[in-house]
Amino acid sequence: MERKSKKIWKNWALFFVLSLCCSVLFSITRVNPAQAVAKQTQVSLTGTNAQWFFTDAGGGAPQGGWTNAGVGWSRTINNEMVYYQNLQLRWLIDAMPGATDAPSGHDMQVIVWFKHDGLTTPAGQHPRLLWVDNDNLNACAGTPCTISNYTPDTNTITIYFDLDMGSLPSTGWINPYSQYSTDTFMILSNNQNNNAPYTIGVDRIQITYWTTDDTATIQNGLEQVNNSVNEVNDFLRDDTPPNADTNNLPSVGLLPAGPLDSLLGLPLTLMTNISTALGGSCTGLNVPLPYVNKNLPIPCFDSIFYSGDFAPLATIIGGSASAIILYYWLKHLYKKVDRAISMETTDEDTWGVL
Amino acid sequence: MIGQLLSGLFNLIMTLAGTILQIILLPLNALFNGVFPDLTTWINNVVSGFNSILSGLPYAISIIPPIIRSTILIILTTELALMLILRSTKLTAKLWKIIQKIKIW
Repeated sequence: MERKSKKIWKNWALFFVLSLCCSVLFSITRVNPAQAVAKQTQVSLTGTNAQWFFTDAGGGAPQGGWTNAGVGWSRTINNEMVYYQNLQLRWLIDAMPGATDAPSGHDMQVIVWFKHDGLTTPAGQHPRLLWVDNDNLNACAGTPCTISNYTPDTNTITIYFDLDMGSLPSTGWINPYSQYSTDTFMILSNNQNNNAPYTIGVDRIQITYWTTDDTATIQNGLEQVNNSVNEVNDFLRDDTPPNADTNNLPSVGLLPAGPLDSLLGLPLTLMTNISTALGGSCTGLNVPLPYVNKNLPIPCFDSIFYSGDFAPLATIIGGSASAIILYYWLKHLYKKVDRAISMETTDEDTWGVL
Repeated sequence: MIGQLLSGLFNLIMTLAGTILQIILLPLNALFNGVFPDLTTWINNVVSGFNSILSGLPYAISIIPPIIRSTILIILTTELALMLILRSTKLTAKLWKIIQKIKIW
């Protein structure tokens, strides 16, 4: 009886522990929607997804219609100061999932890249577009926006929009070709070409917005991965013939230098340098001194000790040392030649003889 | 004068040895140029670094008195010439033995 009750208790204890484990696991793996954090995501728009046109250029000539980003507007007006105003932009985004208001700062950032080709400027000036500041820059067709950061070097302007992002649909098309246009953009080109044709226009648009949807972030990541894969594929498919630049390699022989003989010939180069140094003349050193920006010349020993008053002493010392060296070397040479002539050597000899 | 003469002789022997090395490595060089076209840049860096290390060598050697320098040069040149003569004689003897074994007549 006691044994049976123990068994039941054991089963209940096991059930309790298992339930506890399951509940813990469930609470860990459960998705908590309240933890969604807004992140910024970027969309780059080119071609038909971003369009533009100027309604007034110079003397009031309209451009004539929307033009795709990347396509320049051909002009031949010859004015020193040709200005373009009433620039309108519109763009197409296929989806802005989870678009939300920014936790701080602006809701949406739009960067517009301008392009030009064929503009000529006076000597000393780079061909570029100029941005003319005026009082109406913030009037973006009734949409609250701020324009800042016109960068002449890159020909970009940055527009910040403060929209009610929550009212926009989170999926699907967002007002195809949504027009947040303005009638206050003005581009001034300091052009001095003589009726030579040139082009001007918008190159591309980049939109950055806030989203609570991870899909957009994942899509951006996937796009980056795809770009990396394409780069690798392009590299692998590159069939440009290899071209080794062997002109700068030092030659150790009479033939043109190659990669392997340059490496394997390093000992030969070392021995050649040593022999040249032994038989050649010395050049003094110039050691740059810190803080004073001057060089300290260090003359060779030849000019200090081995010539002039010290020459006889150096000759006596050097001659004695040379005599000792020569004596021992000649003994070694005699032995070597003697063994070679007497056929006493074996294959293990370092220098190798008959 | 005698130093420069010996140095020139030494360099001539080295150049001949380098040329023999180049002739042996001709096909391998072509293979490396085809398979690793960018390798030569790195080899060039290594060789340039090696040469820059050796740039102070003439000054260091100039510390040795001129008579001893000439003596060392004589020893080096003679040893190198001996080594080449003995080695080439040994190789020629081996080659001759191989040729003797070939009996095509």
